[in-house]
Amino acid sequence: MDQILDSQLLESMIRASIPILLAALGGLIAERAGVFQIALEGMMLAGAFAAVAASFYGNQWTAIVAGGLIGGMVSLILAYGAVSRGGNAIVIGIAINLLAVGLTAFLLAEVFGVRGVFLDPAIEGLSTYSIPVLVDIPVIGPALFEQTLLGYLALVGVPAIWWMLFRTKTGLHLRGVGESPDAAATLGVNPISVKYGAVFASGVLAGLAGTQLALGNVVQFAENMSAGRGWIAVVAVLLGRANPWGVAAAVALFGLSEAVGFRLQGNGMPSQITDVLPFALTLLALVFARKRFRALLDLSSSDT
Amino acid sequence: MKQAAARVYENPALRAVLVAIVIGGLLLYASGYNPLDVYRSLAEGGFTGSGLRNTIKRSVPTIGMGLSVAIALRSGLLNLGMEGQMLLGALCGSAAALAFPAGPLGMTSAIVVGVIAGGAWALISGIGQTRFGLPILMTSLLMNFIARGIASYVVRFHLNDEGIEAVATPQFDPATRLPSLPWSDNISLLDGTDWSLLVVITLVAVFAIWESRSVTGYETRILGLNTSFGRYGGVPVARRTEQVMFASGAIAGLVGILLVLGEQGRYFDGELVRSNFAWIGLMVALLAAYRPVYVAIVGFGFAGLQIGGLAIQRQVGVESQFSLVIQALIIVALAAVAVRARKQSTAREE
Repeated sequence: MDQILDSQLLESMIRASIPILLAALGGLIAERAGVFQIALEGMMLAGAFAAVAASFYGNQWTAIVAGGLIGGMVSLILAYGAVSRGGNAIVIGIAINLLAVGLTAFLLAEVFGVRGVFLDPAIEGLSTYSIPVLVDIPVIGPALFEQTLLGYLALVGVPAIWWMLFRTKTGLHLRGVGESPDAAATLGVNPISVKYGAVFASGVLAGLAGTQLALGNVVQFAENMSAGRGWIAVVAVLLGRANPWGVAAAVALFGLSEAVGFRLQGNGMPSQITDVLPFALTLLALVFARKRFRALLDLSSSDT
Repeated sequence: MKQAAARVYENPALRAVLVAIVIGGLLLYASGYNPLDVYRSLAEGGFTGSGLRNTIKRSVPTIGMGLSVAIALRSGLLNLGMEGQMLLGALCGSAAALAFPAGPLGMTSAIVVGVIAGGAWALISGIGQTRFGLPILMTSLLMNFIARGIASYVVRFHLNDEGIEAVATPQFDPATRLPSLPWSDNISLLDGTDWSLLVVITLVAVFAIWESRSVTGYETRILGLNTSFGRYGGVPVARRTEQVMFASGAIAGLVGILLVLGEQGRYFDGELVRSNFAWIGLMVALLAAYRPVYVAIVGFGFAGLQIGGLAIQRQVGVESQFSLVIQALIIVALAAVAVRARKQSTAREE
């Protein structure tokens, strides 16, 4: 057992958590504004592809810009459909996810002439920066204070978004629009533009999640590489009740199970079993948090 | 002519298809192709000659999975676990096909086991919602990933045929596999098509009759339109939810086992996931507005798009994933752009 639970476990847990945390923080902003954001998976994949392409032709900085921007642009489809046209956010989200799978595979073949995995020395990965002194703290030092910029963004994002939501005027408007658009409108807040902003922010964060996944954790693009992480982020938003701390805890649970699974795999357990672990654990967590999902039980009303 | 154009524009499904074709054309143009050439090649490859034959075969999973999703959606249940249900139906059915003596008994037991396995896997999500308050949307989706792991593990470590390189079960006995359609020798279009086509067509008919003629069909339709209204009207919501989930999963399981007993002849690890049939079924159901006859039409159309996608890769060199792009664009357009017209038309229906 001590081979499974050592100090490196924390490191690999954080590593697995960062992309999901970025996406989930995005999801919770949209959720607070009253838009159910189920397209995280697709925007993550689109962001990953854009980042790898931009890194191939440019460098890691263009990659970060492209990943975030493309994620944000894809999210505007959801904003337009769900906010401006009153369409069903769940259906649009699912369609965006499928579109991202098809479009990235299509562009991978058309632009780079490869199928499956795109790997090239010209793709620049994200640099990691260690914070002096703090990085020397045993156990948590190397796990927390040796990150890519996006890694720090995710970690700082938890308190920052909490502060933004509950201590600033912007946050008040955002929550107001989510809870009662009409009441917010009478106070002079434009619900439409607040929702657009929130959805766009969620897209940027999901795109950056994909960037971190493709250029931080590995340096390549693989078809369908988001592999369910966006869905886990959606569940994390629900589990954490769209509160940044709660969402971070839910994501950490997933990261831990992925890290443990990876370790068990090293000890000879078949990957088919360890791959299931995070999803099984998330399902279990849903059972314990079950009182929270009333709104999702009745899908017959079109405004879900 | 002007009137016909107006009618197309008013129909949300046709409008969505039109929007998708235009956007897809722009994408092709930007990639350096002549969109008209590609679309012609796509249509010819999918709907003429030997392509049409393959499209008919491919319609089995697209229509079948479309029905599986449609029966849940029309009852207000967003079953996103159809992939796992299809996988476990195919897997458990394959195990039965190998365990029982070859021949009609093996085939029948494989189908029965596949149907029950798919239905039972979906029922877990149904019960999760009715008794424990867990949204079907989330549980069914997460269970896909669990089903993938289970199926992969069982095939690799318990049912693997060591004789071939791929990870797959041993080949089923020819007597256990689905026979070809009796007319397939005479009609060249049905060459190589097996009984699964007839099963799926029967399913469309049964679904249509059940929906319009039975009490449960009416009750579940009310649930889909307005759950609270149904509850006040005396519909046993929990029981209907569980029954519909079982039926949805059972159809998915049936499609899974029909595919392996028919065309594939053995269960290949990962094959059913890669093919995306489950998610294409979801798109078919959405575009068809959950109506069984439309599911058949749209399922046939989407099958043709996929087969045509293979043709454009061969002939024009366009990546075959373009067909998934078009299918997804249609659904995005339907949900995001055509939604106003759709709302008005359902309001008229009510």
